[in-house]
Amino acid sequence: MPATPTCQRPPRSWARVVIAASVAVLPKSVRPRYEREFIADLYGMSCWEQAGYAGRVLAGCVPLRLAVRSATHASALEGIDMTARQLRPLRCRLNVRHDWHYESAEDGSRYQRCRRCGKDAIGPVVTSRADLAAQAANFWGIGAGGG
Amino acid sequence: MRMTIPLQLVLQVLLENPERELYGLEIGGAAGLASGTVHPLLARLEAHGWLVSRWEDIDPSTEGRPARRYYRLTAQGEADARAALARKRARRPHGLSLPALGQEA
Repeated sequence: MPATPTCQRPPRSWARVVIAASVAVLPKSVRPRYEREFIADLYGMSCWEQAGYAGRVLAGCVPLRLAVRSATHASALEGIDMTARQLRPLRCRLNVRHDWHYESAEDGSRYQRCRRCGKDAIGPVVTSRADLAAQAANFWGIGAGGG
Repeated sequence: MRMTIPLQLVLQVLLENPERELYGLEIGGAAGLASGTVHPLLARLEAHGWLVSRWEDIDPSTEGRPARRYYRLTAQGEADARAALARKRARRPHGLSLPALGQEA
């Protein structure tokens, strides 16, 4: 079948392989688009031109991945409130060990909050060391009267 | 966005005729940049909303090739690009300028 006047030289198979390898590092959602775009550019090129183009695309695949991922990441984070609670360390999420420290509320009372995850301690509000001692004594059943 | 020299060259090409749509290889050829350099820049510009892209509306069997991806500046992108290039030119040391597009060194 004679080639039509508008038929352009198709890409070589090895050039397609190099392009496929280049887009393999891109996020899945954009791979078909960029593969199609790069293959389309190969049409009409000579063998050497295709080799040069495919090589340059391969060399630029990592910067392209970074550019696409940063764009994808930015759009994915839009509207998401990334509070400390959502990024809690494993020890905090498992409630194994929190890093408690004292903070003061607006009314002057003190409470305990974890430095890592921001969780407030559940329990009686501690306003002084005396309160803390009293609560400990109460917990362990050591009466105030002694004996 | 950091106004690197390749980015400035790409924006110069796009601003020559903001209404015109260009495909990636064409932009790279006009700017004197390789495809590995151009496409990450186009991706960033598109993410910032300065560019929009679309597939060429052709019949591949008639044209003998698949559709290309065409890029065009948005109205906001054109304004932002001109402002960014003007700021960059204002900060450039006296006597230094970008190579003119298509001009031999």
